[in-house]
Amino acid sequence: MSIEVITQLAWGAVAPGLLGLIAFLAVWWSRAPARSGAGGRARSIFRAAAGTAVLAMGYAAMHRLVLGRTAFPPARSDEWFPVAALVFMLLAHGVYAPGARPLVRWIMMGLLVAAAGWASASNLFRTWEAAPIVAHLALFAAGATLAVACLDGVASSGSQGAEAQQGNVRGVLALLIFAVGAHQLLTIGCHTMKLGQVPQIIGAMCGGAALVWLFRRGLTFAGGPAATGAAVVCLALFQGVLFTDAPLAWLYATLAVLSPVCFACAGVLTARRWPGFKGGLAQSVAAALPITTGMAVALATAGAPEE
Amino acid sequence: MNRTIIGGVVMGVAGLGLAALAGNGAASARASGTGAPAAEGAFKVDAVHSSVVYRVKHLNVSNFYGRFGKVEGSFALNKADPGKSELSVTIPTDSIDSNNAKRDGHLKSQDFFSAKEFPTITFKGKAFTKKSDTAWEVVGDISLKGVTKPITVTVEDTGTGKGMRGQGEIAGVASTFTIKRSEFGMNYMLDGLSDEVTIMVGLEGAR
Repeated sequence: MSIEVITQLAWGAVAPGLLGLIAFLAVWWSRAPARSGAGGRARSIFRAAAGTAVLAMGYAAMHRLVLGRTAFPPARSDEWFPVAALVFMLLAHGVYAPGARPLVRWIMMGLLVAAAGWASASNLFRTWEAAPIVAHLALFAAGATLAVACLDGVASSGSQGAEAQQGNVRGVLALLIFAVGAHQLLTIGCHTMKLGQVPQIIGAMCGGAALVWLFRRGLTFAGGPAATGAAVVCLALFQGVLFTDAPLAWLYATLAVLSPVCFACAGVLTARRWPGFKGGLAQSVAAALPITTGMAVALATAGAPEE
Repeated sequence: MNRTIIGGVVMGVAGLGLAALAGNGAASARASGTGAPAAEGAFKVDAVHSSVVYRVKHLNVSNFYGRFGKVEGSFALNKADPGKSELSVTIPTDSIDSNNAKRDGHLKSQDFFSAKEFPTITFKGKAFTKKSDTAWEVVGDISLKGVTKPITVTVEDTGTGKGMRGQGEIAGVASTFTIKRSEFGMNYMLDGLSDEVTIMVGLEGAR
C-alpha cells in the first residue's frame, strides 16, 4: 500500500474523528440530562436533535473535505451522500418525533430510505426494467430499516441509571462496528476505496463520540443519530452492490447489515447474565463476526485492491 | 399522533425533493450515449484493427500504459470540403484493461470511471480544419463520466487503401491528446495517479 493511499485513509479517519470528538463534546458539554421533569425531557429532545444534526452536517462537511467537492444537484451516484445525510437528518426529526408509533416509524423510514436509494441510483435505473428496480429498492429498504431498527433499539436500551449509560455507549459502539465493517468490506471486497470512505467517515465520527462518552455518560445515539448514521452506511452498501464489479457485493452488504442485528440479538441473550462490561464485549464480538467472515471471504476470493 | 402526521409530511416532502433532484441530476448526466451509425460514405471503425491506449503517471514516478479493448464509431475526412468531415468515437468504459483484473475492477468503480453508471466515453467532432496533407485540427465534444467538454485535437490522416481481400476501401486516422481527469469528476487520489491522462487513439475504418 502506497503512502498516498495510507494518507488518504488516515485523513478520512482523523479529520472526522476530531470533528466528532469536538462537536459531540459541545452538544453534551453540560451535565447529564435530568432524568425527570419537563426541563430534562426538553433537554433530551434537544440533544437528540443536535446529535443528529452533528452527525449529518458533520458527515456532509467531512465528505467535502475527504472526498472532494460534489455538484448540486447531484449528477453522479457518489455525489448523493451529503444530500442523503441531510435528508436522513429530516428522517430523524420527522420519524423520531415523540409519540410516533413504531410501525408507522418503520414504514416511513423504509419509504424514505428507498427514495434515497432510487435517487442515488437513478442514472443506472434509467436503463433498467421496473421489476428489478422495485426488487432492489425493496431489499435495500428492508435491510436498511432492519439495521436502523436494531441500532436504535440498542441505543435506546436501558431506561435509567447505569443501565441507560451502558445502552448509550452500546448504541455508539454498534454503529461504530457497523460503519468500520462496511468500510472494510467495501474497500477489500468491492474494491472501491472512495465508497469505502463513506462509512469510514461515519465510523470515525462514532469514534470521537465514544471518547466523549468517557466524560459525558449521557451521550446517546438514540432518537436520531444512530438512524442517520446507519442510513448513510446502508446507502454506501447499496451502491457497492449496484456500482461495483464485485460478484459477491450482495454477500458483503448482507453480512454488514447482520452486524447490528447480531449486536442487538446478543444484547437480548446476554442481558441477564452479563449486564455490564462483559455483556458489551459479547455484543461487540457478535457484531464483529459477520464482518470478519465477510473480510475472510473477500481476502480469500479477491485479495486487497490494487492502486 | 399529530407529530406522526407531521413526521409523515416531512418525509413526503423529503421524498419529493429527492425525486426532483434525481430528475435534475439525470438530465445533466445524460451526456454519454452509444455512437451514432456511420453516415453514408463514412468509414465505420473496425475494432479489431483499432486501438485506444491511455498513459497516466503513477506516484509521480513512472508512466503506466493501459488500453480500452473496444472502440466503435465512424470517420470521414473530406479534403475537398472539410465542413463535410465527420469523426465520432464511442469507447465502452467497461472494456478498460490495465493488465490486472483487480485494478480493472477498481478503475470501473466510482473511484474512477463508474462504468455501470456511465458506460461509454464519447467524442464527437464538430469543426474540422485541414492543416496540411495529413494533419487536421478537429474541435469536438468529449463526454466522460457525465461531463461534456469541448476539446481541440490534432488528427493525423494515416492513410487509405484497399481492404485485406482487395474489396472495399479502408482508411486510418490517429490522434494523441491529453485531458485532466479532475475536470470530468474523476478527482480521487490525484496524488497517486496523475491528473493529466494522455490518450492515444489509432483507428482503422472500412466502407
